[in-house]
Amino acid sequence: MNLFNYETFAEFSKKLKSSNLELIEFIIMREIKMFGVSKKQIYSRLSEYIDIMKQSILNGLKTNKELICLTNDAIRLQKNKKKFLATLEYKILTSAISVAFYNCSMGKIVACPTAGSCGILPGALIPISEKYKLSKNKLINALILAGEIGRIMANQTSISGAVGGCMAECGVASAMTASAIVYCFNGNLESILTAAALSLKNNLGLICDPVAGLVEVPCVKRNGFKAIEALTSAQLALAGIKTAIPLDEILLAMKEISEEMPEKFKETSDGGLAQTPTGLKFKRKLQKIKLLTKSQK
Amino acid sequence: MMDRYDSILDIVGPAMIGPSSSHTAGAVRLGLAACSILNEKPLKVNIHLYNSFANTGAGHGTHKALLAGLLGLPPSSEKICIADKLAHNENIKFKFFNNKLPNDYPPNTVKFEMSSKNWDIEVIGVSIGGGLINILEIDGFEVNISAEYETLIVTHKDKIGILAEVLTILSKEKINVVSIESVRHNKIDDVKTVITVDNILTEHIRTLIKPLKHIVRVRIIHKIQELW
Repeated sequence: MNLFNYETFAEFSKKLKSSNLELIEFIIMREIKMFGVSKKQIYSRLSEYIDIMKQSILNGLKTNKELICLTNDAIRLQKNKKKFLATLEYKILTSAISVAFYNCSMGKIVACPTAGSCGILPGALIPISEKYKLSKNKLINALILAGEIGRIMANQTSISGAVGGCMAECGVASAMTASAIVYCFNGNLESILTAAALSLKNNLGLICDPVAGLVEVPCVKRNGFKAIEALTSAQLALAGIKTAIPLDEILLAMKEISEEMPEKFKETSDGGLAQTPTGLKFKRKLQKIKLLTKSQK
Repeated sequence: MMDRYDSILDIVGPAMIGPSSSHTAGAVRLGLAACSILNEKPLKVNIHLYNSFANTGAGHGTHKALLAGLLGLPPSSEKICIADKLAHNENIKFKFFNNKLPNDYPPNTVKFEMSSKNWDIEVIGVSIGGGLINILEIDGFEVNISAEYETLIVTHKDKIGILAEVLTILSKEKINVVSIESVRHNKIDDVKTVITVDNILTEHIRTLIKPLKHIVRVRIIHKIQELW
């Protein structure tokens, strides 16, 4: 059991090396040993998650629901004629926003790591897997890796906006996604961890100031931004570019920033965009909605 | 409290109806736990929302999510969106109260006042984030139940040897105990013992424990936060 007991990425790398197991095998073996599950169970659950992720991209592009602050920007992107991004990048941007919007309209999604950041990983990975014809197993392995990267981060810091602001949710999602993309293009462990580090560094200090306390503004569009950010991190890492500050040290900085971050920027909607005049207008709009306050009988 | 993330499934997943793990998925699980404690079909439910549940619940589908849980639907059920209609069809009378005044409850707290054919019960629970929940109070008695395990709540008189008898039954039934905690407020009132176990608790277990001397009530809360 000791082999699977580690807190930092440095320890993780060391234990992985000493195990003589291949990266994904090592993470799977840890789940098997800790929870008594079978490899088959793991693949079947994650395969189900990938199907839900794919479906949520498609469903988000079909929903016409009006939210409190937003209407469907994914449909807007799909209809748009003024495209200048490359086809893959444009599809990633659209897909990430589609999933995030579908989540807000009470659609079925996979939290990754949270519901508010659920569009980033599928938004990037599914279009990549389609363009480069990756097998489903490869995609599942990428998800397993993303899960372990996120897990180590979560135990060092947090994945809750109420604890660490948006860097804890969308920041970690971007880092997980960047690692998974590098894995998809057969990058080694060093590039995988570098990609995560680059994304995380770019998120330090990002606050959580949701308008009207909802997962709409700035969250839905931020899922699009972060999917593109993850691509950037992955591309840099695959080019052999290094991170000047090691991942474990970035996590220490993130923890310090979380602790010092004012409460009003931690999902409380007491500051930032939520307290702007227009932000407060949306809040009043929400309060006027009387949903199910009485039984119909 | 420092959160612990033991499995990759704590990060990837759950599959859930959005938009919020705390305000939607957690709310479904609170409904499920309340329903499991009642152990009968609820006929009338007053649902009191506090703090962030009261302030932003309308935009998160919290009301529908709580009802969905009471109807036994999981957080991934697409029927959550129509839970109010389903509850109506099931003849469950429900009423929501948004409490926005200052109070001592944690951010996402709900109080269920429920009546079924045989019982009236009050359950207070909180959604603590990431879809995880804690039941804080049952009929005014403080508990701390995460429903990550099958849970047995035994209300009993303060007499020597009762726990030994209960544990003997569990061991004979090959049920593995994870944790056990007894709470006694004074020497007159009943004691509540909360036992979590690995195995599924059946009605059979209840019928074995209930007739023991000095046992007042046996409640079962089924596991609703399964990892793998």
